[in-house]
Amino acid sequence: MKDGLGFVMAVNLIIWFGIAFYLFILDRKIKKLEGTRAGQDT
Amino acid sequence: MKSGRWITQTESSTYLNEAMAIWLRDLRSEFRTRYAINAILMFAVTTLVAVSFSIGAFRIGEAEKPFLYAVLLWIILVFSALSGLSRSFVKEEEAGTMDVLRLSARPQAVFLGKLFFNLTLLGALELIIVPSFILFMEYEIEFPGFFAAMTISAGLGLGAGTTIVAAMIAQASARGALFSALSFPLLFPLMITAIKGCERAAAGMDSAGWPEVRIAVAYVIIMIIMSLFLFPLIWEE
Amino acid sequence: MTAKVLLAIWMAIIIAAAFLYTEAASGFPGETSRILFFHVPQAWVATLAFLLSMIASAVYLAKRRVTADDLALSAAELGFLFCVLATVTGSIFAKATWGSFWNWDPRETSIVILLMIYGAYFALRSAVPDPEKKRVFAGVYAILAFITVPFLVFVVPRITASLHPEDTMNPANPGMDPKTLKVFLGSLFAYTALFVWMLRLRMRILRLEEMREEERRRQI
Repeated sequence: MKDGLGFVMAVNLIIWFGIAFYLFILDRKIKKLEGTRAGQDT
Repeated sequence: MKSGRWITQTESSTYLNEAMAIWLRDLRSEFRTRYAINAILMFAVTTLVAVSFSIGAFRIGEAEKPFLYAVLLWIILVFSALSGLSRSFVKEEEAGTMDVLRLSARPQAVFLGKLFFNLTLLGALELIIVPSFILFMEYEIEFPGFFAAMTISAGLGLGAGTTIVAAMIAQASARGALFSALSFPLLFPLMITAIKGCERAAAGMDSAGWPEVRIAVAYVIIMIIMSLFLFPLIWEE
Repeated sequence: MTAKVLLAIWMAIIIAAAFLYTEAASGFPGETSRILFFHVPQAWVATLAFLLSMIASAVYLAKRRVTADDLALSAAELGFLFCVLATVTGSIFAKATWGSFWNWDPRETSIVILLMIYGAYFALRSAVPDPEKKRVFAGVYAILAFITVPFLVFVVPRITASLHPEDTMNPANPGMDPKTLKVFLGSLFAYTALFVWMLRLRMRILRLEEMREEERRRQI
C-alpha cells in the first residue's frame, strides 16, 4: 500500500495548486473591479 | 407603530391579556372552520393507518418494540405538526390581516397568542394520536407517567420551536417546503430526546429523574425566551 | 500578496509532509490515519465558520451594519463548503476503517444536522425578496439554529454509540507522536488561513455587488 502514497500525494498537490491558482486569478479580477469602481465614483 | 395605544391594550392590560385575546380569536375561528386541525389530523391519521397496517403482520421482536415504536410515533407527530403549524400565520397573510394583527397587539403578545394556539392544536393532535397509536400498535408501556410527561413536554417543544419560524415563512414565498426545511433542524434535538424518553418509559429502563423530560422542558424554556426576544425583529414592518 | 503565495507553498508542504514525512498511526488499517491531517482541520473550519456566522448575525441584528451580514453570509457559504468536505473525507475514512460509508454516530449525525441548518439558511435567504428583511430573518434563524446546538451536542451522544475514535484522534489529546502533531497543527493553521483568505474574497465580491446596486438605484 505504501506504493500508492506518492500517487495520492501527487493528486492532492495538483488539486491544491488548482484551487490556489483559481483563488489567485479571482483575487486579481476582484482587485481590478475594485480599482475601476473607485475610479468611477463621481 | 411603537407608541400609542394598541387596540387590545387597556390601562391594566398585560402581555398575557393581549395574547389570550388573540388566542381566543384564533380558537373561535378555528372552531368554525376546523381548517388547521383537519389538515394535521388527516396527515396523522393516514400516517398512523399506513404504519399500523404495514407493521401489523410483521413480527417484531419484543426487545425491539419500545425503541422502534417510539421512533414511529414521533415521526408521525413531528411530520403532522410540520404539515399544519404554519397555518397560524399563513392564514393571516392569506387573508390580508397581518397588518391588522400588527396594530392590534404588542409583538410579544402576538407571539404568545399564536404560540398558545399552536400548542392547542398540538394538544389535540397528541390527545387523539398518542392513545390511538398505543392501541393500534399494542405499545406496552412500563412507566405511563414518564411516557405521558414525555409526550406533553415534547409537544410543548414542538410548538415552542416552530412558532417563530411560522411567522417568518408567512412573510416569505414558497411556504410549505420552507417551513419544514427551517423547522426540522431546530426540532431535531427535541425529537431525539422524545424518542429516547419514550423508549425508556416503554421499556422500563432506569429513568430516575426523568432526564429526557428535563431536557425537553429546558428546550421549551430556552426556545420561548429566545423567540420572545427575536420575534419583534421579524414582526415589525 | 506575499501572504497568499506563502500560504500556497505552506499548504503544499503540509500535503507532502502528510504523506512522506509522517508515519501512519498504528491503530488504523494501512495508511488511513493520514486523512486526519485533512479531515479534522476541515471539520474545525466548518465549526469556526458556523460560530463566526452566528456572531456576525447577532452583530447585524444589533447594529444593522450590512458588512456584518456580509460576513455572516460569507462564513455560512464557506462553512457549508468545508462541512461538505469534512463529511466526504469522514465518509471515506469510515469506509476504509469500519467498512461502511455511513454509521450515524454522534459526530456524523451532528454534521448532517449542520448541513441541514446551512441548507435551510440559504433557502430562507432566497425566499425573502426584500434585502433588509432577508438579512434580519437570516440573522434570526442563525441565532435560533445556534441555540439548538448545545442540545445537539449534549443529547445525541446519549442516543447513539460512537464509532468515532474520540480518544485517539481528539486534537486536544496529545496522543500523537511529535511528527504527526507538527504536521497536524501545521495543517490546522493552513486550513484556517485558507478559510480567512476565501472569506475576504467572498466579502469583497459582496461589497462590490452592493456598490453596483447603489449606483443602479442612484441612476433611477
